[in-house]
Formats: sequence, structure tokens, C-alpha cells
Amino acid sequence: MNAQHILEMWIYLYGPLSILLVGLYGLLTQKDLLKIAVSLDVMDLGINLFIISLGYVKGGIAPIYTKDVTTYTTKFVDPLPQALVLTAIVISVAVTAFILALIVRNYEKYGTVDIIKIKGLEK
Amino acid sequence: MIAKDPVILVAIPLLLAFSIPILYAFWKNAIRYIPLLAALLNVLAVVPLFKNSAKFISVYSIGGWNTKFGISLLFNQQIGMILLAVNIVAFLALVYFFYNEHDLGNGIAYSLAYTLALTGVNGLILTGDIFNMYVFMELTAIAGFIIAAHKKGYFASFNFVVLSSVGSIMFLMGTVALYNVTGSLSLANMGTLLVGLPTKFTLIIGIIFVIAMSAEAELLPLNGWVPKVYKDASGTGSVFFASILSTASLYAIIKLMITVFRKNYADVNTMLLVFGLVTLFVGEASAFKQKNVKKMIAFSSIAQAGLIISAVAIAISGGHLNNAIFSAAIFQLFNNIFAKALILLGISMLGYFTLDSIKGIAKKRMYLVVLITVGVLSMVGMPGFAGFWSKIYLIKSLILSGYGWFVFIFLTSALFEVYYYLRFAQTMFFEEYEEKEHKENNFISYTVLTVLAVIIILIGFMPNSITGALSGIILGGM
Repeated sequence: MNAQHILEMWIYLYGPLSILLVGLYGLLTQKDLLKIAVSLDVMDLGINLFIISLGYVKGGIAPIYTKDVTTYTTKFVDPLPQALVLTAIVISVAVTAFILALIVRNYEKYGTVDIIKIKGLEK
Repeated sequence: MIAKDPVILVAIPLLLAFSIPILYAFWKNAIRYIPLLAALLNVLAVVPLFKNSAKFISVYSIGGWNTKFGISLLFNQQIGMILLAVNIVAFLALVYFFYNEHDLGNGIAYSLAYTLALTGVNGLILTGDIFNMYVFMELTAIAGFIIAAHKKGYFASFNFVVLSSVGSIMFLMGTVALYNVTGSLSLANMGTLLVGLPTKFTLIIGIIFVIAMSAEAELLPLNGWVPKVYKDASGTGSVFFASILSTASLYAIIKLMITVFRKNYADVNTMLLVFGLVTLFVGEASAFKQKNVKKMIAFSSIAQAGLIISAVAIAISGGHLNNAIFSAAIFQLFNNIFAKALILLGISMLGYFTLDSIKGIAKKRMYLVVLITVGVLSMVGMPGFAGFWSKIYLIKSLILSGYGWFVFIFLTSALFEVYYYLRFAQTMFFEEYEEKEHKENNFISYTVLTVLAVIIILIGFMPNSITGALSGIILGGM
């Protein structure tokens, strides 16, 4: 395993995982409802990149049979993680839209988006 | 008319849910009738499935794909009983909604969410494919967010969204890790292919899945939303969380654990047991000091989830499924569905939720309080009610298999439970009554509660009719 290879591994596996951890950090430390929503999106981005990179085959091509590519021996990247990510992205878009609507409602009800102040008003 | 294929249970509510906004344009009562119709058709669709199903699993593949590659649904008598109970409770809750809560907040979003949630829970209970499970879990969770926000519980719903989203991210991570080592997404197939891995890896995968499902199943790491949401949700909404959502998610996590990790993973079993026991004790100790009845039931529901998960962890320890303990744990899950629904609908009919405000309320609402007490006594495990039998079976099977220490833990937790549930009943019956206004309730609402109480008492007198079907072996035929 040479340095080049380690660098590639780093980019594809540890990169997305560190994005995930950045999102988790934001989720645990931020007090603004909008920033919490953004942190969740960052986490989603990290996990989606992670899934895609696990299905990556070095030198692989898109898994589509065309005029030039007709044999089974051709190196394809794994299409299943891509399909999973597609579903996951759709779901995370829906959840993000819902969270944003919910933040607006929270602001209307409590007059603030600070989580500490809302907790104080709840009691 | 109704085909003998479980996929119909997913299809009916999905179709009807999306017809609600269209029909609403020219028929305002669609929000009341369509969810009711969906739940009724579901109940009618479960019954014929029992006819040619045995205790063994039958696998229904979807779309003609080989089960190794395509999506498949699993069905046996046990799954059928859980489905039947969940759909009956959903039907009764929707009858209650029909008369009492349809004008509370945004009715169209609520009834759409409730119907979609039925798709989600039926799918969660039936599915045999891990990614399918993720999609159904998300569907149920999103419906749950809307149900939680129905009575202006926006902040409670926000908590639920955040915790559940973290859970779903963990679930994706676990799914893709399992896919990477087994090359399959079907639960049965994964269990066969998951061999020769380091124990640390399987342990971490197990932890990831328990944390991922813990948001919906009300287990410890991600269940902070539970008390807030129960407090702020409407009556039928809290029934959804206590009886429907948590049952389906718990059953899904049990199915995942015993099919994927079926080859004697001692570490994974211990981990599951630890999560279960910690949840059990935190739940019981927190329920103990609650003044709000809804919050008390929320924590009791958390404790029950912990109890069932730890009993299942014991049932699968030792590399094979201990059928007696396992079916007793599922019977406990089954009884909770009815008892929790009865108590929650009952107190929402009373209209008062704190222990101070329900003092001596039995003087004015005797019949209603007696119905609630039936649910309370079933939760506590009084002989003659359903809860007694599941507890006695659990204790008996644990002692016969030599897990006396767990019986001790179980009885200690039951002691807490008896204390706070009987305090609740005692407050309603024997405290000094203060004059106050009472909610008017119609005859149908009483009928709904009476049906639930009759189900509990019937199971209490004829437990064998239920346990026979519930003892289906989930691994059989795989």
C-alpha cells in the first residue's frame, strides 16, 4: 500500500465520515433551530458520500449496457449503493422541507428559534 | 375481492391516503371516512392470510424477483397476530377520531398522516428486506412527525424529527456496512452470509442498528422525544405512538436482530441485553415520579420496550432461539398494544391529565374510570386480565431455562410499575373530589373503549387462543 493509495482511501472513506462527524458536532453544539437543521443536512451529505464511495470500483464505469459495452466482464461500479443514495436523498429532502416548516411554526408559537429559550417557555 | 398476499396491507392505505387530498376538494368528510375505511380494509385483509399460513415463515417476493435480489415480505401466524392487533387498534382509534378529534387542528394533514402511517407500520412488520425496512421506517416516522405536531406540539415534533433523523442516518450506515460484507439486502440471506467476521465488527453493526431503531422503538439512546410528544399529542396521536409505532418498530428491530445475527453472536446479545435493561430501569424510575398521567404512560412505554428487548436478548442468547421466552416476550408486546390504547383514549376522554386534576373523578365518571382501570390492571398484571398471562409465561419460561436473575430484575421493575399505576387508579377512585367541568362524550367513544376492555378481558380468560398463534417461530423456513 503506497502513499498514493492511502490518500485515495482517505478521500473516499474517511472524508465522508469526517463530514458526518462535523454534522454531528453541529447537532450537539448549536442552539439555533435552523443551524440544527443544517447540521442534519451535513450529516446526510456525509453518509450519502460514504455509501457512494463504498460502491466505487477503481477504474469502473457507469453500470449501463451500451453499444460499446455489451459483456459481463466489464468493470462496473456497484449500482445498488447509488440506488440507495437516490432514495435516501429524496427522503432527506422531504424531511428537510418538513423541518423548515416546523421551524417557522415554532417561531410563530414562541417568537424565537433559540432552543434554550424555547425550553424555558415550554415549562 | 381481497387477494391472499400480504402486500395488499401496504397497498390499501397507500392508495387511500393519497386519495384523501383529492376527495377532500369536493367531499369535506373524506378526512373522517377514508382513514377509517383504510383501517377496516386492513383488518379484513389480514384475516384471510391466516388460512393457509403455518407457524413457519412464508416468503412473498414482490414483482417476481428472486428473493435474494428483490424485495420480499415475510408472513407467519405471529406476524399476522401483531398485524391484526395493530390494525384493530388503529381502526378503533380512528373511530374515536371520527367523532371527537377531526376538527382539532389541521384535519387533512392528520388523517393523511395516519393513513400513511398504517402503510408504514404494516410494511415494517412484514418486510424481509433491510432497505425496505429503512424506507418504511422513514415513512412511519414522517407520518409520526405530523401526528406529533397536530395539537400545536411543534417543539415536541422538532425533537422527534432531529432524533429520528439521526437514527435513520445510523440505519443507512449499518445497512451499507452489512451490504458491503454480505452483498445482499435480504434479511434471511444476510444472516446466512454473515460469517467469518471479527466479533468487533458485528458488535459495532449491532450497536449501530439498535441506536438507529431506538428513536422509533423508544429505546434508550434516542428516546428523549417520547415524554414531550405524548404530552402534546392528541388522544389518537398518543395511541399511535404508544400502541402502533412503538410496537411496529420493536417488532422490526426484533426481526432484524434474530434473523441477521442468528449465528450465536454472544457480544451482540449482551449488548442488546444491556440496552434493554438500562432502558427498563431509566423508564421505570422516571415514570415513578411523574405527575402528568400521559408522561407517566410515556415512560412506562419506554420501560416496556426495554423489558421486551431484554427478554428477546435472553431468548436468543446461546446461539438458538428459546421459543418459550421469545413467544412470552411477543405476548407481552401484544398485550401492551390494547392496554396502552385503552388507558390513553380513556384519559383523553376524561380531559384531565395531571394527577391533581383527576382526584376522585370516579364519582362523576364511574363507567369511564372503570374502563381505564381495566387497562391499568392489565398493565400491572392482575389475574383475570391479559397482562397477567404474558407476565406469568415470561416468568415461567425464564425459570425453566435457568435465568432466575432476570426474573428478579423483572419483578423489581414490576414493583415500580404496580406502585405508579395503582397510585393513578387510587387517585381516581379514593381521593377527595373537587367540583369541575366535564367533557361531554358520545356513546360511540364509550363503545370504542368497551371493545378494547372486552378484548383485554377475553384474552385474560382465554390466553391459549392467542398464545398458540403467537408462538410461531420466526426463523422457521429460512
